[in-house]
Amino acid sequence: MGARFIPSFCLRRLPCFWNRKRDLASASKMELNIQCEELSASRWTELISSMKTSKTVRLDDCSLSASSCKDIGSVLSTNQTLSELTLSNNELGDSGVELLCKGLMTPSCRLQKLWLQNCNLTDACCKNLSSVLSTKQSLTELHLGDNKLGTSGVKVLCQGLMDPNCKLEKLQLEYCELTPDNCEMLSSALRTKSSLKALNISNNKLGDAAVKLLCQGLMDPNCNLQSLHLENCHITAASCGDLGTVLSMKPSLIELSVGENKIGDPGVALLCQGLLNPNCKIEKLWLWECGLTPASCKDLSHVLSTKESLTEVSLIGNELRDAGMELLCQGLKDPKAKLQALWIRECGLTAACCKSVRSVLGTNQTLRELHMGGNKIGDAGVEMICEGILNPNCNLRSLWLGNSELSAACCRSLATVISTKQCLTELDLSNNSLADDGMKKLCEALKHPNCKLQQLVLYDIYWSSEMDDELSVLEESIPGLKIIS
Amino acid sequence: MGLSWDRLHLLSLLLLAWCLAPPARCQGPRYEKFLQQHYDHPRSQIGRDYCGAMMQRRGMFRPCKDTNTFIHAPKPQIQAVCGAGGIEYWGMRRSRAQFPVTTCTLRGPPWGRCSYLGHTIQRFLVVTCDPAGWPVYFDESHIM
Repeated sequence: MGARFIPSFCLRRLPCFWNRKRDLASASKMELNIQCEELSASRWTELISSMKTSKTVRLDDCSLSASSCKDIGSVLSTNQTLSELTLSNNELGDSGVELLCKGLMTPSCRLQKLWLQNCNLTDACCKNLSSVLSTKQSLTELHLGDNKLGTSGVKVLCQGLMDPNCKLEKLQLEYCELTPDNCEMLSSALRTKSSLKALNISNNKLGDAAVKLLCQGLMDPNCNLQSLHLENCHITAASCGDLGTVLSMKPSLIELSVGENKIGDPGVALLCQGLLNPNCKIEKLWLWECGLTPASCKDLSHVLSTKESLTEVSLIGNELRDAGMELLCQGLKDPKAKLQALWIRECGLTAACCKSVRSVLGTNQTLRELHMGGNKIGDAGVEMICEGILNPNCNLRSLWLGNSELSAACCRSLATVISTKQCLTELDLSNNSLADDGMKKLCEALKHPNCKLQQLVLYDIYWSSEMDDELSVLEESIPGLKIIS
Repeated sequence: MGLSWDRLHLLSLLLLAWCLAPPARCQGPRYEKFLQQHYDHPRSQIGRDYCGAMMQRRGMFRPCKDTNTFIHAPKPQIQAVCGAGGIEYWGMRRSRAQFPVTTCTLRGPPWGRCSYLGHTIQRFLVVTCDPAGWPVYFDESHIM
């Protein structure tokens, strides 16, 4: 991280200026929540004194440095109510963390959750963090992603993790330069740390052999892991047999992500075998960018129609095509299908599969979120989807149709949905050439008393300045509505 | 209209002169927003995750915007695309020259700290300009 460039009119403060309707929940005295702000010396003094009584403190991307850590360290040693501390995206460095750890180690400190992502940390600070892990029974979450901890750093960290005093529940080490060498200790940790509920080691070059080792730990009767994230870990179909076995034996594992690993159709087939086992109680499954083709969809469809525990599935960025989507739709129409959220962005779909999607929407009552952006479904496709949504069976709350080659022509159908379907609270139409004509129809619908939309996302749409003004006025006049562009 | 061409010409020159003086008052909030979403020069130094950090800093993370391009060139050069630096293109303006940009594309689900893939490349800019000649919209779909 180098020096920050501050433009003459302080662009960095614009996000605060732009969010006209800020979330006021965090403005309570117990929560300090600051993001992307340069803090002057006087402001810092003010903040330190509010930190002394805060329950949660978040200072994300605030140009903090090692010297800030001294003050924060003293807050940690005196404020017994402080339970969550986020200092991500600040160049604290190893020396900064050392100062923080001094505060953390004081007996009165009862911190539960700590975020230090992207803080320019290296293996040098791991000894201090390890001491904290082996002492602080209160610490349940540690997020260290985006710090070059490396093999040696993570080994030291794991030593602390293994201490009987350590009651850690969530550990996040994304982009930490872990290597396969780290997986033996991580496997041991999984075997012994029954408190560990969530492990995220995404974006580290691990490979199949290392993941197989992890699976051995996961299978241990002591292991109660609920959530496992192995995105972009260089996994192939070769690990999927072992992962499938874990799924078939561990009902505790309810969330699995292997996104951005080229496991392909063979890999998914193996995972599905595990998923279909009655022992498996999977709830969230993320298979985005896994190199899947329509051939995967038969097995996936079977899982969708059988696994009643399954509530969220992501298949983003897989060339499923219309044929694949039609197979998935068959599964979704099954009365046993209880899926609530489906992500099928950028799956190579066209209007051709929208008939099946309409059919699903007309029968499936549990689906609440549908993310379909980045598919060339066009006006014809959206019109069919709208018909499906209007069916009384449909309980859709959130619909995402960004970058779908839509034009003003489909806005009449969308307007009908907006002004009729009271359960719909979120709609994304970003990056579609709706033009002023289309926007006008949507605006009319927004004014309708039956419209219960809370969030209308309209990034990357060009409209005239008159329309811009009209949207501003509309947003101000409808209390629950946020228009995001 | 009662004004002669000379008077109109003079008025527009005066208006232009006033507009060129900082701060950018009369370019309006739409141009400011364009800058907030698309201008980053020189390219911010923020560690590995340029896109993740920039999308947070520039307020495009609630929810996370699917695709966004940051332009690493001086403002006058970008503004010139609305004039001599650009050509007409499908009702929009396309830059004559290529510009250094970073295009961020969302991958995975759009929750929490969104995960982006960033590509730093040279490409033509396609923008829409307001009647006063300021870019107010960046077209993310024409990648050339």
